[in-house]
Amino acid sequence: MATAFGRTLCCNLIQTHFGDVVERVVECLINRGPLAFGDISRYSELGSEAVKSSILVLIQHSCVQAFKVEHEGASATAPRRVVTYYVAISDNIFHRMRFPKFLVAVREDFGEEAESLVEGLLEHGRLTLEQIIQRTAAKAAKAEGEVANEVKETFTKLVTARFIERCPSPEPWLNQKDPRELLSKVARGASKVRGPVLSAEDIVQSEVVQRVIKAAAPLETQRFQLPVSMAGLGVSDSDSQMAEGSQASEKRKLEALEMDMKTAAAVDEKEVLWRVNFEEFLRKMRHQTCVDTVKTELDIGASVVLSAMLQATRKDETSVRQHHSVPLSMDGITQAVWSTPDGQHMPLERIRSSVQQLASDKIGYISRAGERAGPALGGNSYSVNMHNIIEARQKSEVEGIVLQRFGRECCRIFRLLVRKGQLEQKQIGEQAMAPKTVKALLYCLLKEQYVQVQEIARTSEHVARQSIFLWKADYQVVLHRVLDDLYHAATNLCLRHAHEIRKEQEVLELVDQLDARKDAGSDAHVTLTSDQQEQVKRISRITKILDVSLLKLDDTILLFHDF
Amino acid sequence: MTEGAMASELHQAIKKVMDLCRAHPDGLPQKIFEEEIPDVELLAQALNVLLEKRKLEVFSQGEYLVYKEHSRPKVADKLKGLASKELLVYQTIERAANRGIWTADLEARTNLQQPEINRALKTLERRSLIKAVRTVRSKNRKAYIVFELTPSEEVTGGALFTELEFDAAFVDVIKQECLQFIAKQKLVDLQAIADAIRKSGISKIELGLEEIKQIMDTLVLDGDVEVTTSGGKSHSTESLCYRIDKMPIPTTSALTNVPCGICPVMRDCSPGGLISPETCVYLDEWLSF
Repeated sequence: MATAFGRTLCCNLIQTHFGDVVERVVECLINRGPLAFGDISRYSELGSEAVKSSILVLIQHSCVQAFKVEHEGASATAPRRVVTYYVAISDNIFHRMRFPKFLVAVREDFGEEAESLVEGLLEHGRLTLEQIIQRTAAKAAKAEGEVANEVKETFTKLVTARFIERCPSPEPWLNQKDPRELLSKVARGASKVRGPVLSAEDIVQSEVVQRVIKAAAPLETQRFQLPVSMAGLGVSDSDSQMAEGSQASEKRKLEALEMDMKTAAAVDEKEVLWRVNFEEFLRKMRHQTCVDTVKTELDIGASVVLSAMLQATRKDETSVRQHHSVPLSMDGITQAVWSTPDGQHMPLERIRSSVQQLASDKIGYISRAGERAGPALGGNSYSVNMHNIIEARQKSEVEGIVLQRFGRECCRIFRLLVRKGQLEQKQIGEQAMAPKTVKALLYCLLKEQYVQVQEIARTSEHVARQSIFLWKADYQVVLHRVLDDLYHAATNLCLRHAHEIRKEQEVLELVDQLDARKDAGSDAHVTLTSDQQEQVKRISRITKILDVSLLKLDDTILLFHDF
Repeated sequence: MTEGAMASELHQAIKKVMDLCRAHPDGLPQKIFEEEIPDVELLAQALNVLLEKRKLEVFSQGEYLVYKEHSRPKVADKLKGLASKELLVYQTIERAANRGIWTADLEARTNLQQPEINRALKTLERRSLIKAVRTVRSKNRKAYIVFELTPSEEVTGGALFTELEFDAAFVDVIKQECLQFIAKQKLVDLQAIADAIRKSGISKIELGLEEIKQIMDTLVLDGDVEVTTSGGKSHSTESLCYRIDKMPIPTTSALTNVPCGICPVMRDCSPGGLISPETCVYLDEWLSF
């Protein structure tokens, strides 16, 4: 769900990565929702060729998804029209900010070859296996045949770990009503939606996006299915996947699939497109955040236990924002802990006590799932309550922001209102021990929309002196506000970055020329003056600061939006 | 009648009235006096004399007048010679007991004019019957209260207020003490904290359990301590326990490390506007450190 500044950030990212023309197309799509081709060229005032190539680029990089909708004909006898709409997927556009993090994660787990493979996929959006092999060969300046096997091995590893997936179908059917109707219906009632930041259109648009993505995605079994030619190379998992895939699967109800079971066998490495599975990366980072939280809150032992539990149940998670992990019995937990490098030598008692500690903590890191089972059945089963952990983290982050932005007393007032609900000004002043300044502080918070005030009138004319004013802090609104602020800050950083680069354009071009000459081997007759060197130093320092701050900010954005 | 006879009759009437009053310490309505002393004029004289001498007090109960023997002879002496208006003012102030009363309220209750009230107040003050105190609500207006009483907590604000100002420094000192104590003890209940504070003697005033609880609540809101109930056996305030919070509010956050996070004009900032990231002064400072 993109907030106002979220949309600005999307457009900005697209502009930095793809240029102005593509940015205009994305701007139309993001601000107006799903559009047909004609509408896009009309609103963006670009020629149809330009629009076509922009959309191709965007689909290539999974930033836009197309879908078909059937319209009723103009009259009863007229044929039903089929119109293709395009919708922008803002989540994927945001992910472009995080590519460096994904690459680091891959490098940690699988090494540098896997990293360069994923880098290629991120750079080009989607590739077939053949293209991947070609690219690796060109980079290493070897023949294709030499690298093919290595590449296939790395590829298999990445697919089994679910970091790479098959691309979704290009134009699925959206089998319900025209989404435009939905939009117009809500727009009439939009005035009832309170809150300045949330808008009805945002909510509807995100719903449409969700449905489209769901309709487009291939079946679970198919998504990570290795190409037929590599079935022998793959681990036994892929065999079972193949066997399952041959039966008609009832996991999702879809109107029509571009790839059905019969043709799947005929498709080989030349035609299937693969792309990076962002969900898996998000899941990995989410787990990491949970483990880190436990490490700071409790101790390292508990964090080892938690990370083992999460790793063991990772494959069975169905969605990124799942609240609980799959339950694991006590025995299962012990097995998992003993198989991790950190927990190999953990005594059973320590594991047990850590589990108890995690279960009984106020935040509820893990919760008992199912009925109490005796030792014969593997002991009680526990599931990690990720939702609680992330919520606790979000809460603490919000309070930290309030503390630094407004001061200690404001933070106290904010916490008081979150815990106690609605209060009058006098009571707030007494409980927060700030009786004189409470009014000013409350108005400060109100201006930034962190609290709301409601008037209860005693007389019918709403005489202000006689009304009671109740203050409260609506947590959902605050979350939205913080998210918007995060996007705003990120947008500002990006813009400043571009601005600084533009300012020093000349010097940077000079540096590029020098580098090119050095690479070519010729002597550099022109050196930089000391002023120019200063400028270069300054610009590199500034861009470093901006980039690092953006990455850190992005961590918080992930915490609030994607986890 | 002769003067002597009148005087003696009066004397008798007075004595009778006094006996009656003493017999009925809760007070007698006018009616009963009229029954006992059928001579209305005589009764009236007797009552007046007694009132002047401050041996009797008169109250109005609903529609009737009730007479009672004066309960405080010492005050009765002091009240001797006061005009009736002043007496009325004094009685109204008395009724307000601990809370004290403003001149505006006095006006409303006694139906007297402002200058008269002021004169009465001056007289009473001179005689040390009332005194003026300042309230915490409105420091510029004075409230009047009977001399011997101490103003209530509402008026002064309680132990945490000195000179009618909320004593933030004092509260801070106490909070620090509490924190240190809890850090040493890991888990303490409210009573133990109160005792420790009392023992350490940093506060000259007596701090009751209520005040300590208030201070602890503030610490909870600050995120430094956690509150739990112990055992679950009793539900009184004594069973509240405190320990240091393991997850304090973070003092740094990615958003506030960037100037945009704490920018006061962030709502007005937009690309290409008057306030924009390209020209932002805060960003300039931050980038040039």
